[in-house]
Amino acid sequence: MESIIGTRPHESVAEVFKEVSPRLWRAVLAYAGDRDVASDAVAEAFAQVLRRGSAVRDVRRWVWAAAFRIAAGELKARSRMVPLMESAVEGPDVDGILLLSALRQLSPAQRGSLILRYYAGYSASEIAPILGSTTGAVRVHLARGRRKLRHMLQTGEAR
Amino acid sequence: MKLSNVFRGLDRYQAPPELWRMVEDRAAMPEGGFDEPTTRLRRARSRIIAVAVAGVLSALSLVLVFIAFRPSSAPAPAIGDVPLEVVLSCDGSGTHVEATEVQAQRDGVHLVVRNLLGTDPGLSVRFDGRGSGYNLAPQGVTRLTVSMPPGEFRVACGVLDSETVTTAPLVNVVDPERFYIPVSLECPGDATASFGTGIAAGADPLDVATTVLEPFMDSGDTVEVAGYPAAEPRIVRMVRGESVVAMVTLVRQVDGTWRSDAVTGCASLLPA
Repeated sequence: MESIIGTRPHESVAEVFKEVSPRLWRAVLAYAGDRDVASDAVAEAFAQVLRRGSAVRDVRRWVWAAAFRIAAGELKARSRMVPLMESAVEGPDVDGILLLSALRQLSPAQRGSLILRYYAGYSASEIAPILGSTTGAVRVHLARGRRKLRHMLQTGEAR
Repeated sequence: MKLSNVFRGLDRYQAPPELWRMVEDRAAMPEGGFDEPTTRLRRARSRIIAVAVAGVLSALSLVLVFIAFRPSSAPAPAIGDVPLEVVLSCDGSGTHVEATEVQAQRDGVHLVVRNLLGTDPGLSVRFDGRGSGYNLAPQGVTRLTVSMPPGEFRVACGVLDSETVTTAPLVNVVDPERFYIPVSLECPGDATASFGTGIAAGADPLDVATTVLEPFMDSGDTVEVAGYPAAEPRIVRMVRGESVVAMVTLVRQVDGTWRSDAVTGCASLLPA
C-alpha cells in the first residue's frame, strides 16, 4: 500500500492509515451506528490528509478529529441519527451488538465522549477539540454517559 | 464493570478491506472542507463576526421595510391555512401536536419539536410502513426536515412500539404544490438490489446520478430528481417506460458538492 503523495518525510500516510484506521473505523462505527458512515468518514479524513500533504502536522490527531466531525456532519446532513427502530445492529457477537445498541441510546456527545475515552484512550482535554466541545462539558458527558451505559448494560435495557 | 473491557467488544468488528481504495478515490476528487482545528476555529470566529454584522444589518432593513409596507391584516400563513410546519411538544404526559395537517415544502416536511423533558427521548416518525428516529435537544426546540411522502404519518417522542404506533398523534401531509415525486421502485417480481457503482461527485446531483446510472441505462430511460426537489439527501430516480427502475441517494459534502451515497434498483438491471 503506497501513499499517492510523498510529502511526509518520516512516515507515509499509508503507514499511518495501516496503524490507525482499524481502531478509528470501529470507533466511528460505534459513534454513528452505521458501517457506511464509518467507512465514508474514515476514508474522507485520510483523503483530506493526502490532499493537504505536509500542511497537516499531526496526522493521527487530525484524522480522529476529522473522522468524528465528518461522521457527525453526515448524520446531521441525512437528518437522522441512528434509527430508533426497524434497524438491525449487525455484529459478530451478542456483546458487540448489545454495546452498539446501548450506545445508540446515548446522546451523540455522550456516545462520542465515551468511545474516545474508553476505546481510543483520549483524556477529556484531548476529546474536547475532537468533538468541538470544552473539557468541562466532556467531563459531564462522560459522567452521565457512564452512568446510563452501565445501567443499560447491567439491566439489559439496551435493545 | 470496567468500561474499557466492555469497549474491547468493538475489536471484533472489521473495517471493509476496500477502505484504502476509498481513500485514494476520494483523494483524487475536488478538495473537501474540513480544516485543521486551529484554522477552523479562526475561520469560524471570522465567519461568526461577519454573519453577526450581516444579521444586524438585515434585521434593521427588514424592520424598516416592515414599517414602510405594513399590511392592514396578516396574510394567510400558507395555502388553505394549512401550516407550513408541524409543532409538537414532548412533556411528561406524552406527545402533543398543534395541528393535524401540514403542508410539504420543497425540502420535505418541517417538524418543530419543543422538548420539555430535560432529556433526549428521541423522536420516532412512522410513515408509509417505514419508521425513522431522530435526536432531540434535551431541552428546548429542535427543527427537523423529514422526506416523508404526502399522506398520514404517526409521530411520538420516544419509541413507537406495537401499541403506541396505533395511538400516537396522526398528522396528514398535504402537497398542494406537488413538490413530491414518488421514489418507490417498481421491479419485476419486486426483486431489488444494491448496485456497487463506485463513488462519483460533482456540483450537480443530477449529473452525478446520471454518471452513476449510465452503465444500467437504455436509450429512452430518463433520469430526474425525485422525492422532494430540495431535500438533503437528494434522491434521483431512473424511469424506464412508466416504471421507476433505479434510484440514487446523494449527500451534500462539506464543500457543497454532491456525492453518490447509495444506488438501488431492480435486480433485472444487473447483468445475468
